[in-house]
Amino acid sequence: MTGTEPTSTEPTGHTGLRARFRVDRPGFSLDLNLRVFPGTVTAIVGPNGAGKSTALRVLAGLVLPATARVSLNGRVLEDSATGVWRPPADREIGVVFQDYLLFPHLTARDNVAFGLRARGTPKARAAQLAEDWLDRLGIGHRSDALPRQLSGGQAQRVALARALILEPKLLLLDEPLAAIDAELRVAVRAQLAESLHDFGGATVLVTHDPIDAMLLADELIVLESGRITQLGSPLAVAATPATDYVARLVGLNLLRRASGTVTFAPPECRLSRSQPDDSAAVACTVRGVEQLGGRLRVHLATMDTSGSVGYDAHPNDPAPPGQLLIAEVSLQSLFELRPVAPGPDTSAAFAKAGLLATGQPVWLSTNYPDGDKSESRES
Amino acid sequence: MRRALVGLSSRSQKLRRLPGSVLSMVLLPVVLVALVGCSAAASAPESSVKNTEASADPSSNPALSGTIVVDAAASLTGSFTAIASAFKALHPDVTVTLNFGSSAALASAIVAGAPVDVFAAASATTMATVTTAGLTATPPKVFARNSLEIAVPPGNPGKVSGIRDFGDSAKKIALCAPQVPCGAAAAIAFAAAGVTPAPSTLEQDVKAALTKVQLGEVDAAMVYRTDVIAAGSKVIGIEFAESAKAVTSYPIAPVTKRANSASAAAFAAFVLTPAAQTILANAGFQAP
Amino acid sequence: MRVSKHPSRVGTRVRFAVSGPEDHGVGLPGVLWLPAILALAFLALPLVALITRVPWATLPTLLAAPEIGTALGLSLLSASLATLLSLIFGIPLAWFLARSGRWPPAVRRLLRAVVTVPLVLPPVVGGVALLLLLGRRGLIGQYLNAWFGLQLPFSTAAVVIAETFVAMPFLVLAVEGALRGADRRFEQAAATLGASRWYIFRRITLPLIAPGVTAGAVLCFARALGEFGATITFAGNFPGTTQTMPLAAYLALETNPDAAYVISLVLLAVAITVLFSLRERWIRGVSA
Repeated sequence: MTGTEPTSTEPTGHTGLRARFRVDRPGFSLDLNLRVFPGTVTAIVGPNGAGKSTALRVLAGLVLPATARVSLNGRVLEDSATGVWRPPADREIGVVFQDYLLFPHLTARDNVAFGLRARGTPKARAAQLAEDWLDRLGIGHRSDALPRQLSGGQAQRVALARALILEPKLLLLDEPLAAIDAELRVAVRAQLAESLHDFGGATVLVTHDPIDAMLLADELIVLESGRITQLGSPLAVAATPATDYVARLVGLNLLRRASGTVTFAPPECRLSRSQPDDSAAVACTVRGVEQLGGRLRVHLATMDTSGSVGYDAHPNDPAPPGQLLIAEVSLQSLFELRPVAPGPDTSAAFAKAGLLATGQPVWLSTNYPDGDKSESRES
Repeated sequence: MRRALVGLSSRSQKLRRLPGSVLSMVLLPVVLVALVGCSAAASAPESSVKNTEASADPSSNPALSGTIVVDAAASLTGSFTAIASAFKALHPDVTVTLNFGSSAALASAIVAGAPVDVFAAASATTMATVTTAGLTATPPKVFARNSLEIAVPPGNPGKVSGIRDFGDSAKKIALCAPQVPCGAAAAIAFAAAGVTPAPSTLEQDVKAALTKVQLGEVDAAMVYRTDVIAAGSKVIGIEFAESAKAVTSYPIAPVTKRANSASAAAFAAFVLTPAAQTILANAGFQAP
Repeated sequence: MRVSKHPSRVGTRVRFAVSGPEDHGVGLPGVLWLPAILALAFLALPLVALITRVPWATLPTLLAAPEIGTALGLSLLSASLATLLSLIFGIPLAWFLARSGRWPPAVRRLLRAVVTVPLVLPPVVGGVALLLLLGRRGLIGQYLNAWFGLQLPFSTAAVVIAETFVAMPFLVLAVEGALRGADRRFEQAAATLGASRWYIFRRITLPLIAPGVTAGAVLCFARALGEFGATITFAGNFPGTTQTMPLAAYLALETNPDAAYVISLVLLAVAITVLFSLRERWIRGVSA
């Protein structure tokens, strides 16, 4: 289910979503090219302001792009070259908005029936179909509830039912789990995955949460500042992050050196005050420290060692300065460096003692000095 | 110039007291006519000032000073503005503040304790309200009479010829409401003529009725002769015999318990002098 | 973990439960109590004064007068029709004002000024303006008269028109504010579900702004019920046709103040009852 290879015998150019568009805003432009096959889920991930939601709104017909060609199962939704533009109502799409945007004055049933009613389905028939959909998603017992009486998970399923009842060819989901309490998230995500699995059309999902993206999507698109910086299966993206953002997203460090780019997990790091024997050790400065259970999470930046006496390390394999890295070390490993009585605020104690103060130089070495592709193991 | 200012300020007071009669204010032509009318009328007293002084009546007492407030019926707006100017010429130290409005409303205000020195009413009934309350310093004196006249728009589109036409329901007719003096007077005239009127509207005062004529919204209205004259060419007046049965008398009296009773008495007396009577006659009033 | 504690991230559920325990401790600051009480007293005491003057002994007799019933019925009918007209025409106008984002700001300012004009115009002037437009010699009225024989002044229709003219701005401004405050994303959600613009307006936009529409309609009805100046000027005053409660009260004040107090009391009682019950019903209808 990687979605990159069409598996059916249908003509490839006519199935699923093909979209290429460009949106220009003052100080921002979004350029996106994507292809989503029926029955697959593509997740667009990226930092805030990357243009994820804008991309979704272009596909929904709620934002007019500068140039665009969008087709769904061979039907042109918009084409700036020929001037074709279909309004949202005529796109055969279903949208689940961030915060769901359930109509506050209508019951769950009437929310779900809304699309059918708008298209002229008789009231009783629309209500029956809405009930069926709510039953299918396991919330038939809430059909008389108003949106404000629903939990986040229930509201999400009502929103999903409202979109799916129209049997769209393309389902667009904008941060579908952002409004769910953390403790319910696992269950709600699993239900959503099930619903998406049953849905036969193409799905585009926008999220800032890498776990949601990894677990729900067949294909990831990483969007940064309006540009695609990486795409591929979740596994491939996780294994080989192409940018700092992706590396951070999947919890890895990305270090560029003259010899190439290495990735490694924060727990694989070791810190020392004096230069270790490890020839691959990198000189860094401390940016900040936070405590994480029994461990310390140390934010680092590679140091500009050019011209500094005493830091002439790795002369053959220099690392450009200013790269942001994270090291996770045990408290014990630091006590070895400088014993300080453990207290309720150990990181503050260290900082006070002059160790791991912001701006302080430290040496970072990894368990994989060759820059192996990380499959993070506990050190 | 000063007269014009007096006219405007007194109108703005009226505006506060009586929202309905602001009507005339909004019609620029009417205001202009009123101003022109009062300055024309005011030319008479200047020449007769000497006569008044020679007659040595109470109003020529040179020691008078202070401020007096004169409440007068709305139909006296033009003539009393001119009379106040003439009075001022005789007694430069006296400031006359004029306040025009519906007689009934003014009378209620006086009974309720409004600071008024002289009251000139458009009917004996309204004056009686004040007299009954024991608020007149001296018995009221009738200083003018007014009679009804039919007002029709220029060209007389409704082809109204007399009081009989007021019974024709095919014509648009404006009357004063029976609660206000002009309406009460009209009722007497209709009774005398044996006509049952078929009005479209019962206006809250005579100016409002006249405005409906000026705008051509009605074919005829029953108003005072003085209003027809004040409106100039905007309306045409038609006299009718029965108007003699419904003559309205205008009484005036100083109000008691006021500090400046000497000036108040002087003003009330001045209204009966030939100088003031000329002004009133020019405005269409009949002598008492 | 922190996400769940942050209200805005919990989304739908918290969004609608806006009032609650958070209000505790941020009530009215002490310094505002005095002006608030003074304001309330200022608004309420004139009514108290009016009520103290009501002649309770003769109240039944005065209330039994058929004119009061007629005037009350006409007042309720015309104010209801004026509110209905304001809803039919005012909501679309409010929509244009609120959603005219692409128009030049100058045009929008001008439009809003035009809508506000009846609020600042003295009602009597508004009545004259209506006469000049719709009177039988008015800009439009002359053709209505010539082509259809339609004469609006002095008819119940004229009362409704005058009240609508004066009261509609209240509704338009209230609805415009509600539209500006409404979350347009709901309309977008409806559009993706295949709803036409008209369907979205009826089924989404209108229910969402219902509280604003209710508030506007209540203000509009209240203003129409109390309308005096524009009505008496444009529609005139005739019992059963154009004499609404405020007109009856005004004219009663001329001769029979007791009756005027009674009429005012009835108007007050009816207004409070109607506004209160309407408001309760509409608000319940929206939230249930």
